[in-house]
Amino acid sequence: MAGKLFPIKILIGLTLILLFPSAVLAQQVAVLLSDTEQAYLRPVSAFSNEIGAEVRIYNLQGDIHRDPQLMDRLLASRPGLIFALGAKAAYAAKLWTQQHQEIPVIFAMVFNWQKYNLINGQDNMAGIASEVAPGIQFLNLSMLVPTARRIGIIYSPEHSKEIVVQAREAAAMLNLELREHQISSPEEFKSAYRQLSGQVDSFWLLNDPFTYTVGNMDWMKDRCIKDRLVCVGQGSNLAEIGMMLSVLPDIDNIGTQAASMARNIMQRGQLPKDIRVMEPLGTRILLNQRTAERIGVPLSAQALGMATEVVE
Amino acid sequence: MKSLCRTHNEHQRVIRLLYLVLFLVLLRPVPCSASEPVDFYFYFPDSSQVNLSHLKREMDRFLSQAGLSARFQPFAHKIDFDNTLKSSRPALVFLPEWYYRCHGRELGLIPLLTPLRQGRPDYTKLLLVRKNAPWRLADFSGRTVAMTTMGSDSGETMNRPLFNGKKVDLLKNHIVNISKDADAFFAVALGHVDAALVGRDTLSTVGKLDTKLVEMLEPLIESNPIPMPLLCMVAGRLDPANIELVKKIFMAQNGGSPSPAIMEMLHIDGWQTLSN
Repeated sequence: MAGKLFPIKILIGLTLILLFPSAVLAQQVAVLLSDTEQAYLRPVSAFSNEIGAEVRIYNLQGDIHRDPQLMDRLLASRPGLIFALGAKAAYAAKLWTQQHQEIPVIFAMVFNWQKYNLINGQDNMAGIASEVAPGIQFLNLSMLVPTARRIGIIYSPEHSKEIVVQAREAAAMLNLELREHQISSPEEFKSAYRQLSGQVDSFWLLNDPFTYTVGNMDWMKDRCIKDRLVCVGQGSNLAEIGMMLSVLPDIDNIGTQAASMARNIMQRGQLPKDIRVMEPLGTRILLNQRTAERIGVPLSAQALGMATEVVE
Repeated sequence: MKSLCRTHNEHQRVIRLLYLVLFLVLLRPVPCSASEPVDFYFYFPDSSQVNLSHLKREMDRFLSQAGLSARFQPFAHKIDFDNTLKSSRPALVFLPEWYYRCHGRELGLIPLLTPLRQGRPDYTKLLLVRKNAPWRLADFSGRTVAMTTMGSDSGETMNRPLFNGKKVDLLKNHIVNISKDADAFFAVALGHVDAALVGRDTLSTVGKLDTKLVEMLEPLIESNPIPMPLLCMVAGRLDPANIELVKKIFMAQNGGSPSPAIMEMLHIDGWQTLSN
């Protein structure tokens, strides 16, 4: 009996596919890449592995106008969601879905995403920020060095105003004290450091173009050791060159987090406008043990166990 | 003519037989001998020990002192573990019990031992929220929860052990997967998510480092017991002598003093054999 019904079931299935193609294809997901950047490979791989839906990859090859048919091909595949990596892909995904806001978009790996106006005016846009939140950096700092309660920040308002506002909020939440010093050129950095160093027991280094120069970092790593100050920042090379702590986003986890957000939207009905831009939740913690010893910070076995990598 | 055909057929038969023998030789399981190092993979995202190079160093030291020649390889991300486990079959694997339930059969995994924590073969997770969070269990639906990954849909896997009999459905929440427990902890402390599902072990480790951080949070509910991970062998990859050696090495830690660093690192205080 079951065998006799089998062809009928197939016929019904095919009829449904022909009548309601969008219902079947809705579970396809489009990944839109800005270019062939190697850094996108692992997040895309993690995303594809965890999403549980067919993934089609589209590549802007560095230029939104390079392939005029790309938008049509992507939209014709009727994706249930677009995962856009990089600023160009995020911008293109927003532009292309202006008239198709039923297609949710999750963007990631967009440095300084606020600059691109990605979420304003479109309810289908959500994303993951590219930098670790100041609060996560401070939590790691205070967990590994509980005595570091006064944190110095040198920044240019032109480049880092928003992130400093976030830092103030996080510091207030964690009962930490921020000592700020504004600069308007990279040359002012050393003088700012000298003025602040006597008032703080740690420094938080921003990805600010006036602060984060090769010359400034090279100079500061020696000064921090000499002045026995803990330095925390986002660049992976900071711990490698001799600063005590780097807290940076776990790039692999960006794909995993995006897949979770996509499932919440596609399967559990969460709206992108209710998510908006999440912090990158996965972190890599690099700890320079030699610097910790030189500046007199004792590290317990538990502290060393919490670090993803220890530079010895 | 007939005899020529017979000779030809006999030759063909011999060649087929030779092919069959060659095929069987190539396909036979290759057990690792006692002298060559065995591959040993480790993946346990709920561990509070995230420093994998320290873990590797201590495990290498522990195994070599115990007389087992092994190449120990810990993994931080599920995708790397998935891909490596499928492409290169190791001899030994330490993995979460849910992973064994999902993939054990297809990968030919045979559980040998399970570790014990405080004498028990299971552990619990806590659903943590910020102390001033306005939501309680009664209105917890729709909240965002960060937790370590448990496959493609964590909520479904975890719902049963966590909330069984407690009238709460994790499938009605928005799960965000992360690679390690500590990240979920930080995310809820800073309000990046509404709640975090973390191992009690992680809470105690973070508490030892930063009591103020732990004081910012409170548990809404404790999960039912979740089985501890499993130490499995892969079918056909370990010879009988090494199987016995592995069991002996780990079981010898029961009640021994002092515990090797690797056991303390993983918060394990004993091992239990598993009958298949």
